[in-house]
Amino acid sequence: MLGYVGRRLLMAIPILFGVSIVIFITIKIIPGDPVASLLGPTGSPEARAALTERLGLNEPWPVQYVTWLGHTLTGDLGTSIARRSDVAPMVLDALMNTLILSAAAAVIAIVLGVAVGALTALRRTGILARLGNALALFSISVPQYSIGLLLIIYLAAGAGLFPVSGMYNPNGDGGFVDLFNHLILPAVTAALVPAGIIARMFRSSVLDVMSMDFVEALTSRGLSHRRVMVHAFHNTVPSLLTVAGLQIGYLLGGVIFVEAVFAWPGIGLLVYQSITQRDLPVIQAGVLVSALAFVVLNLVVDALHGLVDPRIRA
Amino acid sequence: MTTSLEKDPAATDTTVAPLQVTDLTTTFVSRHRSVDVVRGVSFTLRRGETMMLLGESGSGKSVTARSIMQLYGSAAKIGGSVTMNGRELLGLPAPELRSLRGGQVALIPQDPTGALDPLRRIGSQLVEVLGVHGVATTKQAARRRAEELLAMVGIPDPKRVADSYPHQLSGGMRQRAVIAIAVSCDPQVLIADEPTTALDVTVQAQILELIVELQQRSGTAVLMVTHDVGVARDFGGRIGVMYAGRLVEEGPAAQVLGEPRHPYTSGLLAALPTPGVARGALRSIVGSPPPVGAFPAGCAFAPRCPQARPSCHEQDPPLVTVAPDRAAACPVANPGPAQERAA
Amino acid sequence: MTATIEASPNAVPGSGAAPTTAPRRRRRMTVSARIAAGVVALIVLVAIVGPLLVGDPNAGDAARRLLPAGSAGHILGTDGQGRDVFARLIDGTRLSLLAGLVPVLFAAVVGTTLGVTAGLSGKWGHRAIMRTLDVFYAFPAVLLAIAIAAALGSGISNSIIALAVILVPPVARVAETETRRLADLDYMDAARASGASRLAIATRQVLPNVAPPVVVYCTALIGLSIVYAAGLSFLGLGVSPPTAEWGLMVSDHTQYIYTAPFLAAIPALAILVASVAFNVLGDGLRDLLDVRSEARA
Repeated sequence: MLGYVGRRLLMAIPILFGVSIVIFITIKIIPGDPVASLLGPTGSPEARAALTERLGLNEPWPVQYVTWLGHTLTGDLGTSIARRSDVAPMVLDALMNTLILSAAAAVIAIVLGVAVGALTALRRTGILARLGNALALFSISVPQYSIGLLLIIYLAAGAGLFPVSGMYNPNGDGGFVDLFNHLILPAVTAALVPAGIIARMFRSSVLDVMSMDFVEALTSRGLSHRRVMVHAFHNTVPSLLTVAGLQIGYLLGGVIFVEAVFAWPGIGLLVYQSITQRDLPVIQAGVLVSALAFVVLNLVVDALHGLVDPRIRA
Repeated sequence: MTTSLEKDPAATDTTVAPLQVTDLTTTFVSRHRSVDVVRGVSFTLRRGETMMLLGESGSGKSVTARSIMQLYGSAAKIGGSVTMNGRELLGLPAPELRSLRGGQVALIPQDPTGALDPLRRIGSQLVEVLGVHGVATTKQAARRRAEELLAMVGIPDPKRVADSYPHQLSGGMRQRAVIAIAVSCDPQVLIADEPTTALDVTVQAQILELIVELQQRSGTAVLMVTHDVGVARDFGGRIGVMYAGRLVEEGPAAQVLGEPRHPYTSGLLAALPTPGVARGALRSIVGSPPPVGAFPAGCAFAPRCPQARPSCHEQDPPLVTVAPDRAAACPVANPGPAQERAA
Repeated sequence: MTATIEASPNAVPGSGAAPTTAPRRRRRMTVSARIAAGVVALIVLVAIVGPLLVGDPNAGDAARRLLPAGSAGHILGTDGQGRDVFARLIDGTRLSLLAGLVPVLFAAVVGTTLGVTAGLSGKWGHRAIMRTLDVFYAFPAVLLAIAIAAALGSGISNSIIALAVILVPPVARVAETETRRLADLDYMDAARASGASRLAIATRQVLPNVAPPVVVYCTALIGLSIVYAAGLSFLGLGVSPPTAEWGLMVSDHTQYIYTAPFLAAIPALAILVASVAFNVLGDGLRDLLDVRSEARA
């Protein structure tokens, strides 16, 4: 088991290296002259040369990359153009908030997806199964911001049930109940698409397992239906973990729309605001940190996978 | 490898036979249609005896075996009667059926890989069954019994195997473990559904030997399903040849295979290569078996039968006694006056 | 996008034990897939001729702003600047469809090329290509598209480039899996033994077989791509105002969510319908061509 986790960790290193190169490339493909945009049109040739020198822009790209990587690894993610402050603390705060939202969404997505998937698998006919299937199909096709808007219209604006934006009530005590109230709508919004995908995958995985011989073999040994189902659902866990791992990426990407709609102060909102201000260091840092979180979460999922399924840790 | 028939009065008294199947019918029902797969199968399995169900795929032999254990749930309607020691099994309430399954009747399925939960250790799967049937009361006792059972089925290293996952074992070892689970609660009837089909040829003989050995040790009655005439010949006991959901011939294996009465049995045997016979002499039965759900009227074999009479296409001949201890469902097999075979 | 291999709903339980040798049914598209095909055809038709049939989508009358749906002359009402929502919706079909379709076309060509090349290359070539693609899987896809589009600056061509980049890896994986499967088959050995060049094998033997799963996969991918493209516009990374485009319309209309709540729902519904149609069509094609395709990250 430890060996398996170790191998996974080793495999993550080249991936992270690749991630850093991709991010670096997005910095380099920015059209226009960064020096000119920093100095403005009035910069003298001497000032330009000095700034170019200071930013290391006259170095060859590989050197620039190593310098940039060094800064990134030591936690220096650059300076925000719009806010004139260090990017790192800003991004890390936002990441925490995004992880809170994503975790809540993941719980909702898995519970909902497993419930709908199991229901539609075990009752293949009937109105509930059809409804479940339709729900799964629509939720994977619907744009997240429109789900969010609908929820705002009906549950928040219309019925006044939940707050529509932010993370805490500005006049509140900042306690857990306040957070929970603010969390529920964005979490449901972010969860719906992954829930639909999980439902569809889980459905076919339940059907797969139920058609496996061991369900019949277990019944033939005198096990009760309930015990047989425990075996069956245990056997759906590996594929559920695989899907969940894939959906983490969707969640971390999809939250940008949700955060934009609900003004949730996470990475997504930060990136969204930085788009309008063309604050590229923040955008890049946000994407980098999200990718990092994604890689780490996938490692966790892999480890869980190894824990559940003896076949893959061999 | 012929099994010995015990001369015990209970063995001949059919009312207390470990397994008696009378006019068994199995119909699969779905929303759109229902399909008859087993159509009136009757046989008796006595203590310590072996019964072979021989037939091609689609003949209903596996379904017969599973219908006895009622493994299809609501997907199939099962008619007729199945008794164990005189007690009717069809229509038993669920808890009694559960204690019966794995307790008095056990199944060895075809593919050992599919029969084991891939995520559980062999030992824990054995212990679970022992616990469900109340064979072992403490964890330690169950574990000890599990290792004994693994040793009994010829696993050289029972402790290690008990701690292994199915994927860590070879196919033959897996099937031994499945057999250990099947015999864990001393069943009176062991149903083996093509127990060697999924295994390497070299392992097949070992597994068959193991089943015979276990049977001789405990006097278990074995119902073996196979499509392999060779296996049927080696195993001996009684044999029932199935075609299109019906038993077409029944009797002691040596006699049925030595001197078949039903044209289908003859055809099956003629299609076998025999040493010393030139290859050209190999004959196969013309045509193919009717698909399940589309059995023809009259005798299902008539369209392929070289000896079919006009009446064969209209009336399905009943299984009648054609010689002492032998029955066949064919007018050709029985020139004398047809005599309904007593079940 | 989510390929599930569904069990036949009418299979007899335990059919392994009861082989039903029913005659093979001819595979046909389900009713829902045929409806989806109709909707897709309609969307394409609207994208082509629609803009010619409706009036100027940018003609606004400030006096007639936020009219409700069903108003005289404005079937779907007017937006915050008094522009006809129906005209903008129809006119926006072209750009919204293009923004979703072009990245998929690009990804189909590049992804298939990469996947087939990887599948036919030796160990190191295969590794180099597939490990590089793995790097893209380490990013939450939408965020990477946002980063690229943001770096390139807003505009529909940049949004198309950004989406194309993130769609290439999954297509390449599908093509690679299929190529590897084919490479294991005997007739590929036969082709190699008969001295066919790698290029000839790739174009004559592999491509015709890789195409069906890729087409199926890409059809469903269009649905996703339309949602993503509209999403980029929604965030301000796609077309710039006042161009009519669905994602931008949602973003526009969102400001009136309290005064005219249904306004934002109209373009969102258009995105939904288009996306569902392509998804269902993809499912239908998969059943029709009987191919398996991988799940998308």
